[in-house]
Amino acid sequence: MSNSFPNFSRRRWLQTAGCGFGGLSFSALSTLQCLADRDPLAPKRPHFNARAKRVIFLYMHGGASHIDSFDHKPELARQHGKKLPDSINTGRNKFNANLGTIMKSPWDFHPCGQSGLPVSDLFPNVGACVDDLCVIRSMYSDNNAHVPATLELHTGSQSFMRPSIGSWVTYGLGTDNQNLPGFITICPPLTYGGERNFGSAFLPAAFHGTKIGTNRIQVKDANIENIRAGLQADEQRRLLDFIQSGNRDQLDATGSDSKLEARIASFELAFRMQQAGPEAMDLRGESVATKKLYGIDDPVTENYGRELLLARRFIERGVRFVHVAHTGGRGGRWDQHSSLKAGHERNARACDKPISGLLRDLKHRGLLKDTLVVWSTEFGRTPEVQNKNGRGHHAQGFTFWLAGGGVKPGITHGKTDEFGYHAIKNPVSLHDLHATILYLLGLDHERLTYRYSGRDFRLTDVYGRVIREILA
Amino acid sequence: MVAFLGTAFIYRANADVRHFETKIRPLLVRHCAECHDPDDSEGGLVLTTVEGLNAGGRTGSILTPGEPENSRLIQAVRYTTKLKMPPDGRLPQRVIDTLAEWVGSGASMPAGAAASSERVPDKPNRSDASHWAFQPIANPNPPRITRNDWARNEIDHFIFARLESAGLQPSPSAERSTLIRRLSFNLRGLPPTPHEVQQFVTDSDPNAFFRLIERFLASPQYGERWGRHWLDVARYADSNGGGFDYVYPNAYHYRDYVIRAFNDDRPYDEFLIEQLAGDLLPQHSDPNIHLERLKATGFLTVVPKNIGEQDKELMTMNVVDDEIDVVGRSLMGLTLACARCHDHKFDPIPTRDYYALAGIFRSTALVKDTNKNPSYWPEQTLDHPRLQAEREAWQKQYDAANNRITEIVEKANADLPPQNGIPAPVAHWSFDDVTGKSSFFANATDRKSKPVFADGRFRRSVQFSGDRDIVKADPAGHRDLGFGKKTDFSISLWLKAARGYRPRTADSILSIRHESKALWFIALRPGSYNGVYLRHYNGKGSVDIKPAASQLTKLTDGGWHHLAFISDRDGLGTVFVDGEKVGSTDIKGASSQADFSKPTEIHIGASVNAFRGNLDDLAIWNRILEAKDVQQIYREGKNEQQSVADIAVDVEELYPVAVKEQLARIRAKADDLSLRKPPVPQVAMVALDNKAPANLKIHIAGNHKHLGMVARRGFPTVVKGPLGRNLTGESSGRVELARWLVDPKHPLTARVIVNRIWQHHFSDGLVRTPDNFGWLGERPSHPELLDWLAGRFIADGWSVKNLHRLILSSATWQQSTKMNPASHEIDSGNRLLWRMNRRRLEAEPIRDAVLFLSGELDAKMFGTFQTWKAKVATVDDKNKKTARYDTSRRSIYLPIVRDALHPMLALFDFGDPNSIVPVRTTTTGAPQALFMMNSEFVRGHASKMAERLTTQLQSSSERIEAAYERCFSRQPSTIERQRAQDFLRQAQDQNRAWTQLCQGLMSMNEFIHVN
Repeated sequence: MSNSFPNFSRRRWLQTAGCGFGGLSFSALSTLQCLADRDPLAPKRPHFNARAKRVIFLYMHGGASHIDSFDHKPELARQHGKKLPDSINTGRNKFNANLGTIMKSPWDFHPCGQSGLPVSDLFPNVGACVDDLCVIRSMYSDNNAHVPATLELHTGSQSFMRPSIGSWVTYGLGTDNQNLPGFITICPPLTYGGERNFGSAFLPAAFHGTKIGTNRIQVKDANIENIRAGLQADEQRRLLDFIQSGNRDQLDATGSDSKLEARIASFELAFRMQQAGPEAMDLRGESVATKKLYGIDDPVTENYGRELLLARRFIERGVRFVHVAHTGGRGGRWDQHSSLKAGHERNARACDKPISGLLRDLKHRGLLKDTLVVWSTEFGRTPEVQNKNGRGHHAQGFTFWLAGGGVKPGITHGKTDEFGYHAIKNPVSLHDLHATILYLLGLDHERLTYRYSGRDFRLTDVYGRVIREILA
Repeated sequence: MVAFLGTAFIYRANADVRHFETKIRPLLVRHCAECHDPDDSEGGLVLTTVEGLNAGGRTGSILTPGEPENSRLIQAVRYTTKLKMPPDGRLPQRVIDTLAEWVGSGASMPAGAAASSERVPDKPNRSDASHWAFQPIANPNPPRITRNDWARNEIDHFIFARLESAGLQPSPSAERSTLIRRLSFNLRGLPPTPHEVQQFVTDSDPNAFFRLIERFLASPQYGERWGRHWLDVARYADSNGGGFDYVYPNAYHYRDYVIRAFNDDRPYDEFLIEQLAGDLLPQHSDPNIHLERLKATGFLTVVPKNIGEQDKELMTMNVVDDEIDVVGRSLMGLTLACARCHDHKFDPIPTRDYYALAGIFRSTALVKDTNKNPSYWPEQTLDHPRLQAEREAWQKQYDAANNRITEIVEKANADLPPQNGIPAPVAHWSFDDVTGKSSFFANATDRKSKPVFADGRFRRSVQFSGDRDIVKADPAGHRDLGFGKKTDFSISLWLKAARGYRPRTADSILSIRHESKALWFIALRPGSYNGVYLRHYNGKGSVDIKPAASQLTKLTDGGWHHLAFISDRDGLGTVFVDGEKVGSTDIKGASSQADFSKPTEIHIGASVNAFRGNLDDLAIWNRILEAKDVQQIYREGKNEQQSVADIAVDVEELYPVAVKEQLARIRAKADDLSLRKPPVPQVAMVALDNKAPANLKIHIAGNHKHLGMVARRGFPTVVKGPLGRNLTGESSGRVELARWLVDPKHPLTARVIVNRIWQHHFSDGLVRTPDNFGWLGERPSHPELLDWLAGRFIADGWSVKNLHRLILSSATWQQSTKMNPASHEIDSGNRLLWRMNRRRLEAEPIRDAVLFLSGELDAKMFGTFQTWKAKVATVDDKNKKTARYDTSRRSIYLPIVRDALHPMLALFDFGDPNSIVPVRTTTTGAPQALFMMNSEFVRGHASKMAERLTTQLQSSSERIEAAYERCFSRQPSTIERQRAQDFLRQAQDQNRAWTQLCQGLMSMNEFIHVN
């Protein structure tokens, strides 16, 4: 560290550095420069008391059916084969003028848990955890095409480049473990908007989601980019010492410079991350029972089980936001325009056990109380049949559930009509969901702003309402 | 869309008021203003002001705070009573909920002064154009200063005067080695070579630095460096973005135009006119100038767009909005796009002005096929009458020469007595050695590799292991190897399949190629083909031909077999196996389209799906072989061990000498012509006016379904200087817009570009919000200097290079970056420039410098190395990225994929190419350090740099010195030499140690910063 200027208070310097000159403090630059000079990922205090400290965001890629999983509609069985009544075609129903033929769910529903909430046979294991879930049956969104719907789910905007929710959260809160990235996405798909779904857009690059592999590979073969040390540890330490001694010489010669100092620190952090990353990703230390809980012992559930166990290990180590898509593996995404039964069953079988394993494990370890788990998808599926035995895209009403971190367990919120078509009671938009997630993390969605190109941006644009009814 | 959310500055009202201003009022404005604003208050009701809300309408109060059910406003929007508002359809539920909740919680609104208008306190009057940026550019005299020994030009007078009044002194000049490195990165984006450093440091000429500036400005790398700065504000990309991320396979024409424009020092006013309206300028007689202007409009066409958007008018208006944003923020430093939904909240830009501009871009075709999903964008062939005429003239000459050749040959043949033996082929490979006319190499990518030769049917043959090997034969030098429209040709070869070989799919034996297309592709194929399979590219697509089945077993039995394929000009294809005709097929449809003057490449074998076995005695004729000829080849080969070369009779040898000479002359002429073939015109994204340019109606609250008054096409009214010309109905108005922007009286255009250039030299602009000179932007640190520079720039003919010369030769720019604590106490942000700012290099110069040090940098300029075709997504259905990054060319030639940016560019703060990037932020974090420590890129190039050092230099001290010189443009200190020696000594393996040393230097702060 420089000691050429003994009278120069480093603290004072840090306070003034980069935070604007004189009366210019209102300028957009102040935020940027402060961010660049300080560690952008240092933990920050939330706006108010947080109920959740971190998020595991599960995303069912392709559109998982609500009426075949968590939103039981006996009317579909009663009217199976009949045309949907015209009365459906009102209000917000701008998408679908030609109503089709009703198809009953191929799965039976059973009341589960103490709460008795009905869950279908698609999710027997998650069903057994239903007393921990807060099931929102009145989600709706604006678009029933995959790309815009997926983008809106992840970034709040279907047409413009906006930061991902994970980027916003790490921007707002920083992260607790500086040896690991703050926002991780495990084996994401690169379609449907791809990296935009975990990109930082105009937020600084430090808030970009760190990608571990993609869904083209098995998670056990995936890694954080450049994390694998190319050298042996002692060799690398020696190289690092060589680099840092050069860096310190320069600092001594030129005088204090927070950017140079920050970069010196970043190499030390990277060095530690090389240990922390692989350690976090090494499942060997997990007990047989835990692995079994996540279904890692069964080839059908192994991959997603590993992904979710990894998610738990990350949040346990202070990672703020972990995004885990379920893309359906080889068989294809949750997008069954035909063969709903076979496709959804295959997908559900691969993730039901791992998801329930995650919930039980988090609960067992006392992590569920301040970890928010979100089960999401870009939209639900139509009550009408498509291609003999499939269902189409349906954005007017669908289901998400939340668990842990400050939400009421074992309840449902909102409802759709008797066909599962429109969200008719307490409709929840994606902006509302985003506002609520931020709220649970102690962030006011109207105050979490970033100035860019002359205006302040929010995750929720000018919308969003915290769903107070579901807060514990 | 400006919101006042939670930021510490400006807005000081309480949370309730904020809620009203940010959520409630925008909703009321958006949904109710059309009928209930002060200008048009139906039912006497005004819903956009606080008085109006409090006063209610003619029928009385509309709000009962705390009781949404009893508030007429809520009843109306809920459609629960007879009064249903808005009348044309119920509002979205969430809007209704928001309004009801607001009323339920007390319907708080601002009181007092703030209540009387839509605006918030602390805000300028909207009609106030007295803001500095809207004033004419002043013509200040450089201040007189006390220290003329320091000042080198007028810039220094302005800077010194401010420093002095703040009690500051400038810093001394940086060392020469620092200056050249700074200058080289600034102007070329690359480090100087040690030789250049040495030369400059020891140059005693007082003009040494000026000469250096001139040299770097004249280098082609200058355009690659500064072109990239411009591409940032042109939001250039090679893909469409917007979720449905199609590639722009030909966007690079615009990128190349920008590089050339900077290298040619195109005056900035012309540069803008070409980019905004190059397609509308009168056609220039020089095709080069004409085509450059068309390419220039890529500025408009590389706009990001959501071509999958179902609401096509919304999609189009989003594109228009982006153009306005670019014209606003990039060219004028104004956030014009903020006025899309309502009057600009801070600057005097009414919505009417937005739609006046929007009319210009809405009258320009920026998307096409808007009735389709996905839509597309306009493209145009880059052509010019003079080029057309040149092509036609060439074709005429070329055809004449070839017709003459045919004529002479046919006549000479007729004059000869009948011959025994078969005619001589136009190309023949005996595969007996690697010499000869063809360049042979065994692998498509490795030009040093040699094919494998083995015992053959006659002497030697070429052997394929099936492991992606290939023999490329260069057709140059083979006479008359034409495969054009209606040409006859014949192919004969001997093949022996390897033991146990069976083709998996279509295994290529031979392909005759023109550019990247296989004109003819001959393969063995299983399945229903079960024998020889042919594929022909007919100029449009590929045609499969199935000439003869049931031959596969025979052809792969492990013995030598003869195969011949004859294609006649009337469209009959015939296959012979071992001298016997085994099938024929009609290929008339297939060959009718193709007209290629010559194949450019012949592949024997193939890189994928390759044949395994041996080939021998391959011959090609540009004529039909008779069945008897084929039988003779087979018979003599089998019985007499005679190859085609042995039995062919070159009838031309028998021509009279005069005829031979005549033929040779005309053939030479034809060969020469084919070398000078004018290029086929390329396709680029070119802007185009709509057939019927029209004015737009104002979109109320930005909603295209909700239209207000017509806004005549025109320019922002806040700008007073230049004369706004009346836009006629005949063109979009882009030419007029461009001319208006570059009118010397325009107060913004010159200031904005001068500020950008200053920013790239000093890291901060004189205005640090280079895209926002409006009320919310920063005031200039040196307003007089900014105006002086802008005035000088205009007077100097808008020459960017002259502006560089001025800035770079100032003492201000040449200052050292050294910290001075006393100055720092006074001006910590260095706004007054008491020293030079130290800068972190951007992603591109970091990458380019690493390539430069390893010796791998490929200096090739322009063009694309992508093999993308139109309508390909950047991530395909199999979730695979389609962009190619395997290049050692400079980073400006990397494809910019909007939705999946190059990882290194993203990591080092390239910014988001979906929008303009006015300032590159610099973040520092562990992922960047991991990249330097562990990435294949850095490690691989460090290894190559080490290899160069160790092969070029003998002693370790020389190498260490060279390594420091190359990385930092300076000599290592004694301590550094010692440290490097120690580092090497401690290592086990010296090769590894040198690589690590190089990697270490590349990783140091000094490497990626410029002092």
